[in-house]
Amino acid sequence: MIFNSIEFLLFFAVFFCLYWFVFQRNFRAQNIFILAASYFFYGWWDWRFVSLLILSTLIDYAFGLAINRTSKRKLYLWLSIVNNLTILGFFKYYDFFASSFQDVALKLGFTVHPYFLDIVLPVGISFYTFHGMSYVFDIYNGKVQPTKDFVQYAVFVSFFPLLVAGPIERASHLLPQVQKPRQFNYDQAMDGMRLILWGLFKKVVVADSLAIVVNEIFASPSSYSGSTLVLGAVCFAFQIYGDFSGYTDIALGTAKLLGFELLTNFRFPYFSRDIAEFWRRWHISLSSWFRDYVYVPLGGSKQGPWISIRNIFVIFLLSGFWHGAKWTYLVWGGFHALLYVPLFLFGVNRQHASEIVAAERWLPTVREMVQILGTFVLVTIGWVFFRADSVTSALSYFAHIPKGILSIPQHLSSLGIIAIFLVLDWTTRRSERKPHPFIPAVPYVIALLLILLVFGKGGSENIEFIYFQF
Amino acid sequence: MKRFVFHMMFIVLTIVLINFVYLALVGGSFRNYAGKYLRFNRSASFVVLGDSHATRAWAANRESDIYNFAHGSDNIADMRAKVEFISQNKPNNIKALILSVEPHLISTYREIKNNSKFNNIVKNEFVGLSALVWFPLVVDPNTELDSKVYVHALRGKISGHKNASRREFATGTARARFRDQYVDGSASRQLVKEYEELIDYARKQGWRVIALKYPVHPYFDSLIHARPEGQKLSSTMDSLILSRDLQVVDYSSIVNREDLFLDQDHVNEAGSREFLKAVQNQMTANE
Repeated sequence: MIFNSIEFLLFFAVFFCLYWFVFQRNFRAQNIFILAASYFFYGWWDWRFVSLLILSTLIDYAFGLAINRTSKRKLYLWLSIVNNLTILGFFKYYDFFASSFQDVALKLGFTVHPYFLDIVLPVGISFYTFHGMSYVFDIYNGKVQPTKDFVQYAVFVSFFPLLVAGPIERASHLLPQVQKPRQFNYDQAMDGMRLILWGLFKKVVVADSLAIVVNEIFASPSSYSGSTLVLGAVCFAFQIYGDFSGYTDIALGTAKLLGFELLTNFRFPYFSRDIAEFWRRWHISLSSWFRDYVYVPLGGSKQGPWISIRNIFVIFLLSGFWHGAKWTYLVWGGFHALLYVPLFLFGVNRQHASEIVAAERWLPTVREMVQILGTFVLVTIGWVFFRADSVTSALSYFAHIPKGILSIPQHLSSLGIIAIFLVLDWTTRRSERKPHPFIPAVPYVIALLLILLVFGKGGSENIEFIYFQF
Repeated sequence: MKRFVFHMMFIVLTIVLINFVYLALVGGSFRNYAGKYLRFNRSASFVVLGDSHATRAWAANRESDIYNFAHGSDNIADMRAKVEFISQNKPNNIKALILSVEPHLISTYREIKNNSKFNNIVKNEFVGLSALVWFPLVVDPNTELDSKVYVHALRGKISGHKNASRREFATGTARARFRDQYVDGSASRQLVKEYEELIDYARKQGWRVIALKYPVHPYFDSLIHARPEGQKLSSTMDSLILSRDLQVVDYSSIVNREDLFLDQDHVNEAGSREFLKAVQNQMTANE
């Protein structure tokens, strides 16, 4: 069940009515209802994996209590981490390691036949295992108290708006909201509607339109001129942004309609002036997760430049590997680490840490425009690795770019979609949780609904969100 | 909550109202397609099936005895779906199906040109044809294309071009169209098989099959006869006709005035009347 489907619309409409009109009187029943609906939502893909989700939830719940109650805190913390990483490693990375082992052995002159699982990756596994780990880390560090109520904890892990593609929540942020009764708030609900429709616009009008062009170009780069390949890479940059930030907006909006506030995951990353700023604006919940639970425990930037550089590479490579068991993701992570390290060494990695560009002006200065463009070019180079089937394919993509770079590219009309998207994104850049606040809610909802109804139905096929595969 | 529910209802009502404006202005191709199913005349004696050639040729028909079930880009799979629909709806007195036997219908290019999107909706038990006809803005997946066509036609009207949404006849366009339709003259085995099965199915229902070739622009007709691709595909269609023992009535060159065509292979309203006159004459002669 994906957000841009009729099934989800029906599911959510029924859920919303029962949630507010039937279960609001009994707070515990409301939480049980959220949990049951979340398992139903998850089970829509594959019922078998609901048991995996429940098992993972149960184990982290038990370890959370154990860490708080016993003196062997470190032991239980490690057991929980090992458990989560084992689940993740088994389903997501086993085949990758097995095939890499086979390749290495072959190069050394041995023929080995490791066992391959060849199974479907459970949807959202990278997200809910990270929820679980953040919970036990925070208990261990004394930032949160473990909950005794299993249902509350299970809702924190499995809350359906964020279950399959985040944002990766923190117990200290979401759990208190699960633990207290929710009150319906008109403004919050209308902001939720805005976010849902704006997210759908990004997904079905922008990302899905660009996906057609991107798939065609990346399937056979050698058949296109260099200029078309550049256009293909730019289109992918906006496809993945529209797709993932669109999903996040729908998740945030859906949660708002239910009285919850989720973490911000995107803050207009393509208006960043350098790579460091980009990473403070792109997939924030994942980068801050790695910062808080990997980078800082490893010593962060406080133990000299070499240790800091090592730590930067560790989190970027882990971030790449988190996306999947492919060398392309690792190269993507490593590429970003290489871009980040010089900023760190020159002490300029936090120079754009505060406000969005041109916060008090209509337009950026020429210098800012050059910075934004430069950052975008670097990010887009990284996206080619991310999107390509293999590192060789990515390199071959780059190798073909000089041929016909000055010709008029094919699929030029896709630039029109990107331009519209950029203008709309620019006009709301000060307000990521309430898009285009200068337009009153009701006309905004009607206008976006109309745009979606005319331009967003796109035939009978729904294209899945990219981040579902992670 | 009351305010929220009130605003949601207001939004829904506004969308419904806009839907009816859309309905009046744009209408939509899916709506037209579904309408052919909804308006199906169970008491008709003759049912016309085919693609845009048949649709246009029979457009001026006012005889209730003949039902024009043909639509735009219908291919053989679409015709089969319609024949099954007719069969399920137990028509009272169908005597014959009027099928099109133009060679391009079995061309390889037709394999990918079908109305699966239309048929998915038509067969979708959850959506329903009435929903499609009355709420195209919400249900119809083709709104983007239909709106663009509408805006294009509107621009044409404003600028004084009557048929802005349709290309007028030009020899270059006709040649390009011929290349598109006839490719290298190869027939699709799958389509040939499907067409044979369609004819057999109709006959099993006790219906006679009348095979027609529709009028095309004289220039386009000359291309079909002169070019090897046209000859090759025509000969495959002839073999199919022979294998099923069909009597073909060839109207391909009966309309020979350029002003009776919209483009290279579709007659206009006046051309349709001319075609119907020829059909009438043929029937009288047969009697």
